[in-house]
Order: sequence, then C-alpha cells, then structure tokens
Amino acid sequence: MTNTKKVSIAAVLATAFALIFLNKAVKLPKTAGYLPKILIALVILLSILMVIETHFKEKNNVKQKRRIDERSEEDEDSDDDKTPIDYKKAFLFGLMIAIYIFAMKPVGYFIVTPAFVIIAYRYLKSTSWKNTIIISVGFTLFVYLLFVLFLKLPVPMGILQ
Amino acid sequence: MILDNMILGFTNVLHITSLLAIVVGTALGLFIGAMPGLSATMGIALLLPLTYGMEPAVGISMLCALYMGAMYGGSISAILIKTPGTPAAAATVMDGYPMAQQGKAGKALGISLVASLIGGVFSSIALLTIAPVLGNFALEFGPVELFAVAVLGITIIGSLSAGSAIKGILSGTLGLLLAMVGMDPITGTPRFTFGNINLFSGVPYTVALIGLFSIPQAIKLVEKDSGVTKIVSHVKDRMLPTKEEFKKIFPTTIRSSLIGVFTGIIPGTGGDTACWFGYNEAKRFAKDKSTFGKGNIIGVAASEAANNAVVGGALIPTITLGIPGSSATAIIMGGLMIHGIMPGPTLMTEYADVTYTLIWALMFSNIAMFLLGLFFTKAAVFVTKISNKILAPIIIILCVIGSFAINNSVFDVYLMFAFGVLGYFMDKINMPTSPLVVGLILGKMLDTSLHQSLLMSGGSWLVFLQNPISAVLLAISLFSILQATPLFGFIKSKLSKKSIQA
Repeated sequence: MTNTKKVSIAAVLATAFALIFLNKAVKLPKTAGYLPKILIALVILLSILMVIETHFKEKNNVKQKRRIDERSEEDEDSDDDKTPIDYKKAFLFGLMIAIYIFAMKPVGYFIVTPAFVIIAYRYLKSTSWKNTIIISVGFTLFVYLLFVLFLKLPVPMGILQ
Repeated sequence: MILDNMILGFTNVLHITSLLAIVVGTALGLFIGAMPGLSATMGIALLLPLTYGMEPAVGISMLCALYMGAMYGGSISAILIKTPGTPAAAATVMDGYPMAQQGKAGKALGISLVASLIGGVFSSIALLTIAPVLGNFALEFGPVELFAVAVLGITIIGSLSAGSAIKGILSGTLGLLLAMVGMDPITGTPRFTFGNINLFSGVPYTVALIGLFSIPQAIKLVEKDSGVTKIVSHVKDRMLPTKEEFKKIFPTTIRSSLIGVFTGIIPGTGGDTACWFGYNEAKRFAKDKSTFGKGNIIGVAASEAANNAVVGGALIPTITLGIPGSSATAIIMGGLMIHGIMPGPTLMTEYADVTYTLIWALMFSNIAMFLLGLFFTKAAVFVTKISNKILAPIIIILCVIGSFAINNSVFDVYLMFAFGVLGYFMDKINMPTSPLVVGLILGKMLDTSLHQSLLMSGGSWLVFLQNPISAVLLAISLFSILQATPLFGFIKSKLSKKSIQA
C-alpha cells in the first residue's frame, strides 16, 4: 500500500472521529462547545493537509525532514528495517492481547496471565517449554506478591473468587 | 525562600527511603536502558504503577532516577551489540561499536559513563538554578499567559517532532480533542462521554500513555524479530579513562551538556535529537574529523553527555510551566498528577518539598548511576542478550496490571489497549504519539484558561495580543509552525543561495 493510501485512510478515520464529536458538540451549551468546535475544525483541516502533503512528498520524492530528525528516525529502526514485517504474527499477537484483556475480568487475572504467557511464548517460539513454565509462573507470582500483597491492589480474581 | 526550599529538598533526599528509591530507580534504568526492546519512556510508564503507594517525592524521585539510569544504560547495547538500547544512544553506536571491535569495549563504556555523569550533573545544576527563577517568573502568569503557554507547548512539540509537522500538530490536536472528554471545567456539562460513566472524569492520560508507548513497541518487537542471535562484544579492558583521556573529552562533554540541556528544555525534542546534535558539533569542532566513526572517544563522550543532560533540561519546563520537555517527562508529570499534584507554576511554592526533593534526587541519581555503572555494567551485558520475543509478552502483562492499578478499573485496561492500537497505526504512518499525550495533558489547562481569559476580556480575543508575554509566546508558536512549512524552506534555500553568491 502506498503512503498516500495509508495516510488517506487515517485522514478519513480522523475526520469521521471529528464528525462524531461534532454531532455531540453542536448540542452542548455555547461555552462548553466553544473550544471543541475549534479543535474539530482543526482536525479536519489538518487531515486534509496531511493527505496533500504526503501526496506531494511521494510524487516528488522530496525529503523535507531535517537531517537530525531523519537520522534519529532511521537509527531508531535501523536494526529491524532489514527484516520484513510479519503482519500475520503482529495481528495474531494483537488478538492474543485482546483475548487476554477481555478474559481478565470473567476468568481472573491469575489464570489468564500465565495462560497468555504460555500461549504467546509457544506461538512466538520464544524459548523452551521449561523456561516458558518457569517465566509464566514466576512472573505471575511476582505480580501477585507485588500488587496484591504489597500494594494491596484488588486484582480481578474471576472464577477464583 | 528558595534557599530554604533547597535545604528542605536536600534533607528530604538524604532520607533512607529516598536514597533507596534513587538507587533502585537508577539500577532499573540501567538494565531497562541496556535492553534494546525497552526505552526509557516505556520503562518509566511501566514503573509508574509501583510508585502509587509511595510518598510523592519518593515515587517521583525513583522515576527520575530511572530516566537518568536508562540514558547511560542505552549506551551499553549501543557499544556492545551495535543496537542502541534507547533511541537516545543512537549516535553512541558511531564510535562506541568500533571501539568494542578494537577490543576497547570497557574503555568505551567507561567514557560513556564519565560523560553521562558530567552531562547529568551539569543538567541537575541547570535544573537547580534555572527552575526556581523561571518558576518565580511563571507565578505571575494569569489565564491569558497560561493559554499562550499551552498553545506554545502543543505547537512546539507538534512541529518539532520527528517527521512531518502537519502530522505532529494533528496528533497534538487529536490529543486536545480527547482531553475535552469529561465534565466541562466551567459549566460542569458532560462532554463526549457517550453515556459512559467511566468517561465522566475524562480520559485518564496515564492510561493513554501506557498504551501509546508500550503496546506498539511490544507488537513491533514481535513482528520484526529476526531471531538472529546477538553477537555481544566482551568487556575485558579497564573502564575508567586515564587523566589524558579525561582532559581530551572534557571540553566536548561540557559543550554537549549545554546542547543537551537546551534540547531538553524545548518541548518535542529529547535525547534522540540531542545525541546527534552533540555528536555533530563535536565532529565540527574536531581538528581531525577523519577519526570519527572509527572509534574516537570524543564521539562517544559527545553523544552520551548530551543525552544525559537532556534529563534535567526536560524537567525545567515540566516543573515550572507544566509543559513536558520530552515524552519521558510527560509520564513523570502523570505521576505527579496521580498524587494530586498539578504541575505548573505552583509546583515551586505549594509543593516545594516534593519539587526540591525531586531536583536533588536527580543530582544524587548521577552518583548512583556512576557507582552502579562502574560495578554492574558487566552484569548489564547479560540483559542485552534477552530475546525480544521473551520481552514482548512481559511488557503486555505490566501494561495491563499498570493501567488497572491507576483506578482499579477494568475499563481503563480496555482504554489502554485502544490507545495501544491507535499508537500502533500512528506509528505505521509515521505520526508521532508524543504530541497526542501532551495534548491530553494540556487540554484542560487550555480550555480553562481560554474561558477565563475570554470572560475577563468580555469575549474579545485581542486580549491574547494585548498582553506582552502572551503575544510573544503566541508569536513563537506561530514561528514554530511556519518554520516547518515548505514556504520557510523555500525562503531559507533562497537566502543560503544568495549568501553563497555573495
């Protein structure tokens, strides 16, 4: 996908988000809706400008970034730029996080956390089975000691309650 | 008054709990910085929940010490595995890695440690001297000036962020718009809550920043990990530089420290900019430029002094004006707000005990960093070997528990994840996330000060131009936007052509 396409999708989403807010802003009292309306207009304007800028940048292949910015950005990603992005892996890992988060309340934090670590490590082939078990149990225990016993945080216990 | 507060802060920091927090924070920072998968910003975000139960001064001191420690820690992997542990150590790779290849890894780390110490102490002194003066000046600020300060903060961080200024400002504006969610501070009307009671108090920005800074990074670690075993250079030689070497690097470290402090003060620019700025200036001043990139100790010192000097510099606007100088200080601001302390001009007076303790803690963290660095750098070598695939799920676990701990709310965890997904896609189109966080922080201040100013002026916007301080600040904001436009680039290229012809 070209940069212009990617940015255009982002601009459409930002504008849609702004319009949803506008729908609510018009119903607000004048003082409460004043600044939000200005910001909504700015979001829409900047979204359009962003698409135009990306289009021209791509078309002319002109890099207008300052040298320092460019170098720091390149170096931030320097080690991983050579390897292609595995979108499937990123999506599935994202999905695992979503399931982990949404299962936390009904099932319980101390069941889903080790389960998440085991499934993620196995899927990512991070380490051996032995290490997987040690890390998942060890880390869950660490969180329990620190947050439940030490900080007295009411962590969702789910079915363990 | 200022002197009394300084003494108060100094005695507070000598308390055993504070000293312990500084040592633990610095040690964590050193190890987190050494791991290429974890940045200083993420480290602070992940440590934030642990500070909830602590005294405000102790907790915040720990976060600042972590920030300082991570700045040095980043150089360990930069030197040993050619991968900067944090973006702020990117320029350290240039000469640090060639030194390691020549069997001088210990020397490179020692130079980095000494330069970090000088940069850190320099910035702590700058913070200790500039912050009270600027704080006193800022105390005079009314809503008109505060509005201009908020506008300046958002435009500078937006326009100076890496990449496109339009994307930076759009990110900041989105942050401001999200800050409008919740009760209107003047009328008390609920805005954009969509009937959800959890949103009545607004979007908790610590939750947002944990998601924005950590989730995208965790996914990135997974999607791009090549599985190649990292080759780590061995540290066999002596670390501390000789007297001659110290004399050689000293002028550069002072120059880089100055650069670091000023880069830190400007919102939007942090260690990643400062290290290159310091490195390039060192190269420009050098008699023999050809040795740079081949293992020159001055190159390592220049980059490392600059990135540590950023810490104190970035805290100056954070403490005095309530505008974070970098994304890391934005989280530290979040930490203050969790303890009910509103960053801004009153921080130097109402919360002087916390603020001055924090300033002294930063000074002491330099000593802790130096000693820990001297004795534990060799141990930190092991963490550079930890695979990204092992780190990623652990980051997620810490994000989840951290965002839950703020308000004991599962809704916050969902919100954190939503911001994480947003941050991931923003990353994909090279839109910086820091302006969004700063927008979220400054939104309420912008809203309240705008209403109050307009009430005072009877609805006239001219009030912002009639006030000299606000007029100057708004003019700087306008300039920061204009300097990023193609028109400014065009004028600049015309002018430079003319000067070459002349």
